[in-house]
Amino acid sequence: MKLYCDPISTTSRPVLLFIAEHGIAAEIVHVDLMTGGHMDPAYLAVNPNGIVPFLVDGDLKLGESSAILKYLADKVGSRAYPTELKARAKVNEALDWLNTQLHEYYCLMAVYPHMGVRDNLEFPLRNEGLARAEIDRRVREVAEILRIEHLLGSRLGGLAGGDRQRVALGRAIVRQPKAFLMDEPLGTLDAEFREIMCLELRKLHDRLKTTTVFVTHDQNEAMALADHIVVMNNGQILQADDPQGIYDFPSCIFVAKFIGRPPMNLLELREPLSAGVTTVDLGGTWVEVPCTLAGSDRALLGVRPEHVRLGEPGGGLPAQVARVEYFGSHWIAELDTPAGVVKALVGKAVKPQEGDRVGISFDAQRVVMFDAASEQLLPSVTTSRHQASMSHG
Amino acid sequence: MASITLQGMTKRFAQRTAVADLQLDVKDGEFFVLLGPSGAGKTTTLRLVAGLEAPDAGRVFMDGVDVTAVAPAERDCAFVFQQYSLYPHLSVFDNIAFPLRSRMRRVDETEIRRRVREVAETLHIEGKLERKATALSGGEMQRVAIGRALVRRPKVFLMDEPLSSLDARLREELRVELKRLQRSTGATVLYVTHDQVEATTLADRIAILEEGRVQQVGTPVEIYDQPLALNVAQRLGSPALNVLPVEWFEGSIDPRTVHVGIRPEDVLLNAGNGPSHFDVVESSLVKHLVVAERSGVEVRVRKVMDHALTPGESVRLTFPAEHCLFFDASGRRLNS
Repeated sequence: MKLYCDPISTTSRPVLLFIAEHGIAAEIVHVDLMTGGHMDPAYLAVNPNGIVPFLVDGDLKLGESSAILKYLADKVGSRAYPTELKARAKVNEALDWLNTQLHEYYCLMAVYPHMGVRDNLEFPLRNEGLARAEIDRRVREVAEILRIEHLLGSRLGGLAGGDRQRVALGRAIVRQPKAFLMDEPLGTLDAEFREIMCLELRKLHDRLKTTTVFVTHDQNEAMALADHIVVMNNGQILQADDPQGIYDFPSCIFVAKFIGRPPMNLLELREPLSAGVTTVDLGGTWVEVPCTLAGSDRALLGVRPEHVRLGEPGGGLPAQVARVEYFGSHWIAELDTPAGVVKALVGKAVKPQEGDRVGISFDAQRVVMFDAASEQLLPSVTTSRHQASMSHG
Repeated sequence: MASITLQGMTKRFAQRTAVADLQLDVKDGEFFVLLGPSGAGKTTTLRLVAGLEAPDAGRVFMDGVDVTAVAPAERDCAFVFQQYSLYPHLSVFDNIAFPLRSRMRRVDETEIRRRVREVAETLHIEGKLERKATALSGGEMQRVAIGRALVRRPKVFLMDEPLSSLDARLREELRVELKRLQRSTGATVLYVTHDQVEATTLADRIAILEEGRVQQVGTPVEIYDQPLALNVAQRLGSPALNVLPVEWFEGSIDPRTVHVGIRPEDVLLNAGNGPSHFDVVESSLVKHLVVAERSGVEVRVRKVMDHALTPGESVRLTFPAEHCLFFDASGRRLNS
């Protein structure tokens, strides 16, 4: 299962469409689009692992999208791009046109509200002209996989949100597509249900093994579901890796802040950082870090809240508990230190008291460094040992 | 600021009893959260306090004075709703100033300006006072709505899911701010939510409400650590409480036990195979969560891990008896 994490959803739609048109394993293509006198880069990058990021800089503007669609249409070859559509250049119509080209892929999770559950599942198959016996067999099979057999006779109207979503999923599965393309399929569900559906999607994937491209802005969904994640912002790929790589070695400050709640602590060093050191001066305290492989004039130390340990005052970085929030299973403590505010995750057994003075230390092997100017991850012995699970163009 | 006491409050709508014989004691200056699923009677309770609904039975006291028969306007409660109901044609300033200009109050204009400015500063919207309310983002609109409640300096604040229409990041931000505001002003807040994170992080005390009845009242830690019943234990906690089949514990526990609960962070997880192994279904580094399954039962484990586990991998889970919660057939806690 591959997954796109993209705070701006307008860029994700074309990703799905592109994959739909070109299949999962295509070549690397870069396109520059000339629109309105200036060059807007659009990257169509397809790597051998089958990741297909399609990126447009910023939001899709009218001119850009029709140019992209034209490009896609050319790639499809024999299927002519309808000229009247080009003349009207309406983005949605163009997208609709592309949607109709999707035969083997399923893009959107949607249901026909006026039809019953069985009709919803059968509809795509009837459209394909399948034999009655085959339709019945497939509907039964899908209903069983999704545990909605008992709902086959129901109307859609009375169904709970989760059941509705299962029917939508069923409509996708029943066609036995080569790939599932899902654009924020869980976005409309409430938090509790999203978690349950997330788990169900993962199980379904493990069973069907169908390649799935899943677009979301929810980091929890991304981290829980994906074999691979592509983090995008403003039309750029920031990092393409497995969840572990994204979590442990965020490629830049944006990713470090985007993934993880509360986000990674970023603390500025007093002195320039040199290569080959294993301790750094953090607000007047020497702190152990993985041996650096590059220097930086202004460096930030990154450490996740769960890798911050609270100890007796006098040991480590001096800190004072400014605020504590209770989450049942744990506390989040906000600590004032000479290097800035540090958030720490503390087990539920002991409550950190506001005003307490403590000494904090970090799990040294989990610390990463960033260059403040470029906002990029700085290499160290731990980052260099890590091989990204995929690369991107 | 004031204390609020509800005695034997009952409210029926047609055949349905929304609130049944409700007793509540909200102390002066307390941040009190009503937590429950939809339909539990949270909003009705709030409206009864405000005087927007008349109870079928029971009485409301504010600072010890019976206000059951007092009109809503004279109870001096400020209401903040989920939907920031601002006046779209007015500027932010005028929206906040609106309650002060009511005929009942007659605050003079210099005083209004001073107070609006003060409130705007507390809420970090002082730069947006001249804007139309509709030109604001969702988070800013909700700040204005809170500002409009603050500016009156009411006796109590009644807040009905004020953060639930905001996106996750804004919700987090405004949550912290609400708590800070309540602390610095010493306001009495009665706050309704179905979001348990808001409940544990904001509340001095929580009342768990279900089907119009109070199930348990206590500090967040008391309710989380010492739930009196299964439904209360399941109301708090993310990931939710594991409820395990009683057969897994046979012979070693109270024979009246029908449900065994354990918090995800109390489950011990070790690598390895064995006669009682579990299969990993999901593992998330962000949520420090592992979901593992055995004979159709899913168990959630909260643990800070160095590496995510692979779906399908085998793990051993143990459930230390001292952390287990035992419940009888009616859902009542046995070892409390």
